[in-house]
Amino acid sequence: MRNPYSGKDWWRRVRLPQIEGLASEQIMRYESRVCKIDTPWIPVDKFVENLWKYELLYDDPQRHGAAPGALAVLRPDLQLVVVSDHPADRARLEWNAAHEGAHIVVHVPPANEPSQGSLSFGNEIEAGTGERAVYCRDRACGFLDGPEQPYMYREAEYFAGCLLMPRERYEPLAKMRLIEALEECMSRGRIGLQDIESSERLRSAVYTQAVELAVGRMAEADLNGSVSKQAQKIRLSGGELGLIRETGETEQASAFGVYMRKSYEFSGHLVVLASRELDLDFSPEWRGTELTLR
Amino acid sequence: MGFGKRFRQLRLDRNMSVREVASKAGMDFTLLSKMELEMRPPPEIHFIFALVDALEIEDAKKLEEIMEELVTLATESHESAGQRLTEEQLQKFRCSESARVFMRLKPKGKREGGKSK
Repeated sequence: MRNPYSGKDWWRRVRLPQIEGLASEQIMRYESRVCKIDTPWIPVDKFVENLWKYELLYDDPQRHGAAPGALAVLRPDLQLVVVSDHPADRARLEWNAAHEGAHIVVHVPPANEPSQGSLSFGNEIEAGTGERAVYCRDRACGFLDGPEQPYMYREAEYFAGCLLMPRERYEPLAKMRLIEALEECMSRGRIGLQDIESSERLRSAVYTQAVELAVGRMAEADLNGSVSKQAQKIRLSGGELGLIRETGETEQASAFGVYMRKSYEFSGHLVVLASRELDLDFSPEWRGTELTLR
Repeated sequence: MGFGKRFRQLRLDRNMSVREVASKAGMDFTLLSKMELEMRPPPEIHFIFALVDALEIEDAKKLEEIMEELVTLATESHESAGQRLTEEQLQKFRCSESARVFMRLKPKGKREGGKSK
């Protein structure tokens, strides 16, 4: 496989769980180098211009080499990001820009990257330094090489979701909504703490309902208009941000197993499956509140 | 450096996005974006006033300098494109008092309903 951004047969490989870290790092860099973020959303358009030093153009991406139907295109050769000039809303524009930003951060080789000649293709030989080390990319990504989407696309989608909904900003909110929803579900069903502690089945059912309720409330009340539906799908429908704790999975699956489910509509069934691995956190802060609901 | 590149530089210096500036200037952001990358000619003079106003430059002297620079660049661009600004439009800018009134370049205390110290 050839890297379309460098034209070379090797890739800078970023370990998949590092993608969220890279997104988080971009926010920290922006705040330290440019300015503090004072908007309820992450201003990705400013990231493109002020942090990544690309030009941002709102135009028809097809005029700039994009495939028909594409809503954005990256032109590393021109240091240019083109985002469709016919978007539905601001959040969607941010999403499109964030997706292209992912390619800038994760996939476009920096100018000082060593040449292909110094690498031994097929082996993961470090040719750079630190996290941004260059590795020869083979097909080790496995299931990410699905026929319907190239894995670079999925990496970019995941990065965009993490950038637009950073854990530091949204996990406390998600947990608060989840606790509220758990209390509500238990109250509705007249279920007490002892009941759910003694029955795994009941615990899963309550938790499933609560996660669904919390996700719905966040989408409607907290994120509507400020965060794109695409980012919400990745971060909320995927059960991230502390809603579902992934345990015992491989490194790849923990990063993308959740995301792979994004194509499905959020359903209780999926959460029930996931909740079997949950470490339910009945913390003292809300245990007392819950007991009053019996 | 043409009008578009210079305006983009000024906007980035203030850490403002295309959409923020376009929204404040009452302009379509896709048009401004294309203008900055010089895929479209500079705007009419009254839009230049509005665009510079959207940059929220506090220093009146600096504001006037920037305005003059941008109008000159726009004029040059229009000349090169064979679409010279009309004498009437240029006169509008040259008459500094008119420009000040248009751009609300009065001393800060008198701007926006007279928030005097």
